[in-house]
Amino acid sequence: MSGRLRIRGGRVYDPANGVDGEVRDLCIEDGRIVAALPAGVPELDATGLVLMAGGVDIHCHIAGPKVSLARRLSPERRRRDVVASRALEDGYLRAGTGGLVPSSFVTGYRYGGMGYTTAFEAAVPPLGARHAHQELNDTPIIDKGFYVLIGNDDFLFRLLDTAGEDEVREHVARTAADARAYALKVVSPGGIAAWKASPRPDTRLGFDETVPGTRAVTPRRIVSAVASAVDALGLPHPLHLHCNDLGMPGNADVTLATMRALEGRRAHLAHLQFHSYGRAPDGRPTSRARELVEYLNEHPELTCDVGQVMFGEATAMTADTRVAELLHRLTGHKWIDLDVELESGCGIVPFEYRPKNYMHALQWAAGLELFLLARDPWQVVLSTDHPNGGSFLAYPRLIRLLMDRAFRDEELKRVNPAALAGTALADGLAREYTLSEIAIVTRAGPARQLGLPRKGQLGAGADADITIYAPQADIEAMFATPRYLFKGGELVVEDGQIVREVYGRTWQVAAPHGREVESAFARFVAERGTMPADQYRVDEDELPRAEIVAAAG
Amino acid sequence: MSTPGRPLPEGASARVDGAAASLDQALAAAAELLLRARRPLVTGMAEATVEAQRAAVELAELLQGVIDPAGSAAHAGAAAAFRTMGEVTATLGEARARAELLVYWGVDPDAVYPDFHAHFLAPVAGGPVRRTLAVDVGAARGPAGADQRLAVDPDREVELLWALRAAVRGRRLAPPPDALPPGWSPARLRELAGRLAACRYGVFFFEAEPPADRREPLRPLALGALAMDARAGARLRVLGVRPPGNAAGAEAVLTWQTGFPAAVDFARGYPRFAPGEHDAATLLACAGTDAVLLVGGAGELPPAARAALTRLPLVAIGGPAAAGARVAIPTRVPEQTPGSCYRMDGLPLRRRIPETEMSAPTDEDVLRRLSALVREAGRP
Repeated sequence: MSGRLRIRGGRVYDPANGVDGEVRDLCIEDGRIVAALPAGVPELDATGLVLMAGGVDIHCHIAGPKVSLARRLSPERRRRDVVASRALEDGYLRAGTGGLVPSSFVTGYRYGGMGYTTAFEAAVPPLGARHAHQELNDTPIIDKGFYVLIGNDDFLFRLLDTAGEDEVREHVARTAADARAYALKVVSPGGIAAWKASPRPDTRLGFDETVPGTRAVTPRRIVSAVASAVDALGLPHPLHLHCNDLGMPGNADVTLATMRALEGRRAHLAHLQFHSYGRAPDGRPTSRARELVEYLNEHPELTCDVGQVMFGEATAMTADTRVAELLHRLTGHKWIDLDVELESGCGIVPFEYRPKNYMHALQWAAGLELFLLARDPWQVVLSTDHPNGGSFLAYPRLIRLLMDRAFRDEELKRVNPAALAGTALADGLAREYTLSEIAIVTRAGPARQLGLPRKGQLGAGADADITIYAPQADIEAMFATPRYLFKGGELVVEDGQIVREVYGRTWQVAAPHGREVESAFARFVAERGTMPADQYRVDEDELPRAEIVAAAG
Repeated sequence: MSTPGRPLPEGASARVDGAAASLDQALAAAAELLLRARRPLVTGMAEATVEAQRAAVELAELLQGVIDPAGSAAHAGAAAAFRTMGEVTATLGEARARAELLVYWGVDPDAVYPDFHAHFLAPVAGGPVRRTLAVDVGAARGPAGADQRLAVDPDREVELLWALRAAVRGRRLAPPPDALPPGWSPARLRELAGRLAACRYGVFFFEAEPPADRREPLRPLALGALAMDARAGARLRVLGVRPPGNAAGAEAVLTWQTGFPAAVDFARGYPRFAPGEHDAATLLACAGTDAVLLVGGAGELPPAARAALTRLPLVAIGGPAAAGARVAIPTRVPEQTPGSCYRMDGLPLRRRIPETEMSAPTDEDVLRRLSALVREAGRP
């Protein structure tokens, strides 16, 4: 199938090209979509079926040190979800385990089985870059890449205190280049560093407070400096930003302050749901999702993914270790708290969201408010912050919540009513997403925000990553089991089953920088760290299927 | 990758049943032996690269055998503690830059890992004043130059750690007179607990893969619990010291590929995790395997398991000349093999070595070729 194929007569949802459910043929040649093919090429009859570009996950945790720590922490959660190796006509599928944090092979198979063809791991510390790439190399089917962490690293702090914009920009570029990352991610700017430096678990850093051990570095300066550097470098994806105080009642204040501090610069706000809480006078958390959406509605340079909470098992997995410690204390569950030298941290707690729990129900409602109140679906991406709000395998159910009001109303009856009071859901939000809007929030939007012009759309020249669904009354079932999936023009899934194993590409950004920053960084880690600077550098031959995107700057 | 058919270095011929053989002959004999086995075991891997470890997992999967790193029995206590409660830990550079207290609990890291202190703990300009405390657990002694020394009777070690835990939580202990180990008064216990509970940044080192005579299965759990319980106002981290090599890499590879870090059984086609049951040490000691593929040396296996190796059909890839092996295939020594290894704190490293013209195959080459032969034979 790698050659030519005409997919005939399907209903095409391709919002990037203004196509909304029109019956069309799609033509594939050499892994790409082409405008036309001569008569007589092989055909696939898609009459009555729904065609979309392959799904694009802009924010998930699927590879690298923290993901494997989570796997090791909870083997008991995976014993009942096992996958045997299986012979295919051409090759074979690898064995593995599933659960919330599947093994690498199974991660790829399950994304593919759900009609997704691209996924980005959202947080890798520079020292974990090699590890993350090794796991992504073993993740089949999908195209992938990761965002490298910056914004709690001592070297950046030193530059902010003693150097200028140029040096910061060079450091940002070197960090991305060494790690072979696709984008830059800031997690709780300065907050992890402050927390690591303090013996007290409740240590918190205000947006304008100085990071301990620095002269004048504040979260505001970090956000502003890194966002500027990313823009100046012209990286395809803007700064990917996890704001301060994730999960804390009242954190909508710092979220809004962060959005304002960006002052018109581009940014993608990660899992905004977790940053959208107010605090009632009696101390109870409330939802302020509506205010955040209103700000987004007025600021097209900002985008977000929701980080929807789905009831059931989850795993908190974050560089924001303070949150992990809080969840550990709340639940008494086992946990991991790892300090990563000079740059980051890592916290992991097995968790469960329950519909009757006030806070969990509030989080669930706040996520739906973000989806349903946003004026422009191009600014909102569907995510569960897998596995933090729930598994990526819950996406079909989430799509049904958005598309099917009757189903949503039934679900509303299950959740803690006190948490719903005061949210827009209590006012009877009637909106139902259309298939075209679903195509935006699951593929076209994230591809655009990632700066991946060949993804998320089905125009001539696009990668032939195509998902074909059979329409069903049960939207969840329809999206959980695509009839066909094409990846790079090859048929890899039929009726939800992998029929061919392919390996996608690893996307990285070319971020040119000078030698000076390399030697300054090398001196710094020699003075303070234990890992020589050349070990931060991932070599070209470590990525057997790399695709390099040039920065525009 | 080296080209198949290249000559091996002088004096390093492959051997089948003691006789010199070509690489192809040895690979064919090895594949036949492993395919005939009902329950093949893949072990060793302590010094193999991540790339070779990946190939070893695939081979074990194709053979529907068991794969377990040789050091996993020695590491069982630390692994069980991790599964039970998680861990509060740090990479070595955090200890270097932040620690004001280093506690060596029955371990002298320089004896386990050459130049440990010079490599990882050289003081940082402007760093905190650092104090060191050596806790000697019987014959398992901390470093000689520590600022302070304490001794613990190995038979009372866990009780002492439990008492310390209670003390850092501010619980008043009213023990019967003999509840504390000899030499430990309640006052001394409180003094140490007070130091721990007020420590801005402290690191406990312990031996993560101790030999049987220094092993206390509950030690890692008790140290981890102590560090977590001191958390109200202290930041204590626990770091297992592991010998040089790539045991951490084997765990990482097994974890991402199968979901489990060790003792993975593919008998049913999917991975099952059975530490203490389907691990290399147990299978070898209890006649639970009928053929072994050993990657590198066997030194990390317990003595009883090593002895069993001589009685079983054995394929030895690399490592010190495996005298009793039915098939022995020499490979490049680890120091000359390019690839990745993981440090004891989980950070990946890359060994960059230019390819040379004359070179023995790597472990990875041999394992990949074995996998190809197994697949030709129709598995899966």
